[in-house]
Amino acid sequence: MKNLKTLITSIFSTLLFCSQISAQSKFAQLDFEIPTPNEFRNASGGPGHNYYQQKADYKISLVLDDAKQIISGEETITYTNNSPDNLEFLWLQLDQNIYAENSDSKLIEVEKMEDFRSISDINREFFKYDGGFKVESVKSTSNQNLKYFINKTMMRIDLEKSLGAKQSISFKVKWWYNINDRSKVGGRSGLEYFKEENNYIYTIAQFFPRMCVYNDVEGWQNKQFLGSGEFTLPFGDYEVNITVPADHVVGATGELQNAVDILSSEQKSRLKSAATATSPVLIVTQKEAEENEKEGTSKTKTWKFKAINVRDFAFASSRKFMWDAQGVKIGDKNILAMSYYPKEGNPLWEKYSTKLVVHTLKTYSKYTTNYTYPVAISVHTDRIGMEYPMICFNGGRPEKDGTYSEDTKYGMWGVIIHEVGHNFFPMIINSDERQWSWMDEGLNTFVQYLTEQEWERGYPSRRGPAPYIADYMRGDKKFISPIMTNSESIFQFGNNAYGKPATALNILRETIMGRELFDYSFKMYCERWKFKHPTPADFFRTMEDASAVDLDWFWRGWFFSTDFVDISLDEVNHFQLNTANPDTEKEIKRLEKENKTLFIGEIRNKTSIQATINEKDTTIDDFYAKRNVFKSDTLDKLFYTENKKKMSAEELALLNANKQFYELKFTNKGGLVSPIIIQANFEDGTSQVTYIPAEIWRKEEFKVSKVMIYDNKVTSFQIDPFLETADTDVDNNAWPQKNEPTRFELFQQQREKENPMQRAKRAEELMKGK
Amino acid sequence: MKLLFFVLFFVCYSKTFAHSYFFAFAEVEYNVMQEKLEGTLIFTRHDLEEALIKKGIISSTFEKLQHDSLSISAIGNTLFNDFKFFSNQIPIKLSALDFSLTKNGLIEIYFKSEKVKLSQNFELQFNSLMDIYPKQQNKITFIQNSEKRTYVFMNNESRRKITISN
Ligand SMILES: [Zn+2]
Repeated sequence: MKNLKTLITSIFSTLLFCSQISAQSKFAQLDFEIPTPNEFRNASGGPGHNYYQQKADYKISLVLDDAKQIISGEETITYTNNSPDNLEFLWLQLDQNIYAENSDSKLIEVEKMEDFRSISDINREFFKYDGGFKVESVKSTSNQNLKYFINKTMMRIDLEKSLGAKQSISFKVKWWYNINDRSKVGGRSGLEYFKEENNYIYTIAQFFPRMCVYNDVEGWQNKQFLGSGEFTLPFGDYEVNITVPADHVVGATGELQNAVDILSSEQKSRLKSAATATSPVLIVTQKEAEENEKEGTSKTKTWKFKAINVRDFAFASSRKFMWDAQGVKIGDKNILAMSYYPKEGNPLWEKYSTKLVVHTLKTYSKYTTNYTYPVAISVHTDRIGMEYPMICFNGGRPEKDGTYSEDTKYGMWGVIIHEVGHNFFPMIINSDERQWSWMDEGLNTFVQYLTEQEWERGYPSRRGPAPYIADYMRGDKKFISPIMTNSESIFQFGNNAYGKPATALNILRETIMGRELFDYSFKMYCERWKFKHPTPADFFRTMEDASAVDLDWFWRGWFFSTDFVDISLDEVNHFQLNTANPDTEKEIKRLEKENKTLFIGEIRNKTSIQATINEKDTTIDDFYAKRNVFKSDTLDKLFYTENKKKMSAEELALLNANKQFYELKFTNKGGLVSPIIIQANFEDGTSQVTYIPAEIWRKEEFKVSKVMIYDNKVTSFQIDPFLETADTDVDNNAWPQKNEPTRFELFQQQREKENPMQRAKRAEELMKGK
Repeated sequence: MKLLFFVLFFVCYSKTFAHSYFFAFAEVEYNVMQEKLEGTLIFTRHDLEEALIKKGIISSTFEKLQHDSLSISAIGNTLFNDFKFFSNQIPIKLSALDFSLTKNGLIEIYFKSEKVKLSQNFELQFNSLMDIYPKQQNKITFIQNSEKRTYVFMNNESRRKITISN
């Protein structure tokens, strides 16, 4: 314990100057990192007064050949140029060309000889699958051939006359391609073959030449599709006719237009009752599906779908599907939540899928913006998860005997919530996936976490809670990418584009902004950018604009750097206030002297020297030797009384309050600035938590100290007591220092308590006793 | 010219998972009293399960595996091919003790080493799952005398020297 004597404020001007320069870099306003606001995107983070976006409308006729597993189609695209620019050419995406034989996505994979350790590795290298688009023709509406050029996954159509502002153009494309078998080549879109019964489930997407986005940020977003950076697409209206075997059941983006011709009257009435049902209603039952899948047919049927203001179109088709639906009302819209799954998906799918869709639509609508599309569909696949507007393909298959593991259950729940959640990011809040995966995956994973927690208390979410990201973030910063990295160049896609941004948003919500400010601002971003194309800067700016919280330091640290949080509590010094009362203070001094640790020589001398000279000779001690320094004299008391008179009653009370002062010293070891949350635990068993904003680091980037004043004495301090900052090393978070047990130590502790045999024995004894 | 040997197992390789994890983590401490390495290997359960099933090491999901010494050592023997400590170039023998599954989809595998004195020339090779998932990244936090050091392992940098404090 120390006594607080004087408060010295010393300013080392040069030192302060230096540290200001370095700290300025962490707290400086974002400048060159984000684009200057303009007429298209304003400084508040909203669409500017001249914001525009292009429109692409599609009329597609499609044939699914179940015998050859081929898709062939013809489309008429009407493209409207809402930009102020003249367009000399148009760019379309041919994503399926990633499976073309000259595809870049394979060429750019780094390979080593060790990659060829098994015969199947080699087999894979030689495996030939020609899955690219075969474009048969590109024609004007008057059937004139248009000039076009295919550069891998991009196709340029050269216009005879450039397309001016506010002008539209229509043209036709005819194509076909071989559908990929997912078990052989993977893929977001594809087929699954059921060998024993010779049946297929098709979950089809990226199946047609799609317009690229042209906007104020990228011009044409014609960055090649390499596999990771997903899709960037304009909004438009779709009319799609899909011809499939007559015994197939089809689910797709949009509303079915010809239910009258396609569905049985039984199915139509079931569908009608589903709209107002409070739990899923089967349109096609398991019994009906099992009957249907027994034999094929050579007849066909055409399913007609229409979708308004969507950025893409996908569908699923199979004779194996059962189909259920349940109505859900969001705002003033009646929506049908639906699921399509084969018997292989049960019992899980019938029980959970559509209920999860309903829950996801409701929760996301609360945190982001209302879902306004007429349907939302979850389709069963073996193990993937992939999202499209109004429809998504989700894994989660029980075992053949109808049982399933807990892991499969949570895996299925998580993937359905996640993929249905993608309806909001990026299908409605239409960010550029090719460029920034985190804008849809990260934001979506964050709301997924909120949705999971509202589905089941204590839901074991895989991503979101701050402590989960610590293992990934700590260590060598060279192998981590900033979140603001192009989708194709990210190390550790999952942690970087999903986990880290989801964690960052959780920290903003729980710790830095608080739930009220965060939820309002996050929703504001979603409302401002629904059915539009936001960029990262629009998100960063809106979050500050709607909350009055300067977050530039946070975006810089979490999104633009590879720093991590590691705040270390290095030192704690305890002080008490000098009361100035000579009686009290001198007694404290006396006690201090009495309790002082003695030097070993002094201890031994006490017995070995029987008497010193001054003890034997009484003439030696003078005034100084005889004076009792621990006793106050008249002058001390007078001085105290005089001083007291000068003090206000408030000051006096404070002086006598016996406050406890603790000086805490911190180091920022990880580089990422973070609030410091200090929990003091007191002698009387109570505790107090103080939140110090991250701005404490604004002038001193690496070392800060803070004096905490309490009424009671502190027995221990804990930094980040609720694990909310993603601190990567919690061992330096406590005083007195305590090492958190490693996972191995926890395992040992559990093991040492009782091994399984001891447990069995105990159970046996318990039974005997009964 | 080098001859290419390969083991015969069948990898059903799927190129694009929309949601992949590809991250393993190890937490290892040198127990000075026992002169042994003690630690935990942590994988995304789904990633590891799929890899081990394809390699024919396990035939069912971890949830169905008995925690008996046979399956535990089978898992250990496979994992310790790609997770190897070296002291003065000599591999340190590790043995798996048990594993546990967490609800949020991870598997933790606990292990111990034989008695070993750490030399200054102390290395770790950590290329677990990199043969199957080329984008796999692995990390270790090594603890010695309460000091923690973290290292990252990638496909092209899968063996690294670990600093030992005296
Ligand atoms: Zn996703």
